[in-house]
Amino acid sequence: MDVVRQSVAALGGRITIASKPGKGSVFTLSLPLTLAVLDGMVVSAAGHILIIPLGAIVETLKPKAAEVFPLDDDMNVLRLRGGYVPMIDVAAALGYRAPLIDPEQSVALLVEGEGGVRAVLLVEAIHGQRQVVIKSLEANYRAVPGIAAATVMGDGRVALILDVDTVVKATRNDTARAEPSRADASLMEVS
Amino acid sequence: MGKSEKVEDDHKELIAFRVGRQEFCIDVMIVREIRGWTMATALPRSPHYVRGVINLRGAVLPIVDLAVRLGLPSAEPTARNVIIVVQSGGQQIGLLVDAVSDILTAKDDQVQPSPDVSSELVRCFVRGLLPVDGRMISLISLDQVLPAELEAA
Repeated sequence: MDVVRQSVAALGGRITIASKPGKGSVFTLSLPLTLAVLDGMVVSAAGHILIIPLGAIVETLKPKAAEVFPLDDDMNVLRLRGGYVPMIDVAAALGYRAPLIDPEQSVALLVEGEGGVRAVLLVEAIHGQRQVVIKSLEANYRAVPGIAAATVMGDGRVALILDVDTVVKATRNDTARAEPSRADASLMEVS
Repeated sequence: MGKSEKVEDDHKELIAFRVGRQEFCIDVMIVREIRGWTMATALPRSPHYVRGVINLRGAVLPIVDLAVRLGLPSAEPTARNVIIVVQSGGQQIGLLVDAVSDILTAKDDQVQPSPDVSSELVRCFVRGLLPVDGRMISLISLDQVLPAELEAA
């Protein structure tokens, strides 16, 4: 019960309870409409504009090659103030392209997912911070793993909002690790 | 374009469009609008025939490259391509085609059954063939244009 209350409060909403002895209880959850607006960091990965929810970002940094250590074939960790944090190449995790060889070319965002799980997301560039209106992808299409929703940018184009939790979890769970996607394959067919 | 005589019950209004060298048609009633091509935002882990999503007056609209979906050779879309926005089930989908060519009125008995061939394209999409002025136009159904909810990998 407290978990629900805390989650609702974290969203800026409130929960009220009305009980009648012998009859039952009514729980009313009020959530702000402005929930449809999200503070996000506009980044680019493999040329695609993505929004990373600001709430998940702890800090941004520029990784140095000397602080990157390979953990296994395709997983690197970054030494960060004495700790080691797994690095996730966002473009590769979404299947836009193969993992980047040189992490020094990218900008790193330290993110904290559900349950305090930390990871470093690698993107090409940060374009700034912006409030975006959340548009569902499921209404006309279907849920896309790694993508929470979409939004429309000022220039009328659609940008995708990254689902930080899924992306972070996918790298912890081998079966969900992104295989090169069919989107990539089609690009190759076309060219 | 098209004929303006009164449409009776056994008449269908169809919208014909070109994809590659072939002509197809769909029922005009499911068409919501036709618009020019705009750059789509690619979706990760989508089937190869899904070009991405575009902004349709604030709604996010998936774009299916009909050429790829039908197994035809596809080309990079240009400003000359058009998107036919259709209502399919509860969803709106944009179909990327080369050009809209005609609006036809056809009687049900003008539509010939498609030949029984093993081609997957014919089995999944083609519902009939329509001869018009020496051309052959395939009447297609869009039920399977977007795959049913695929379990995410």
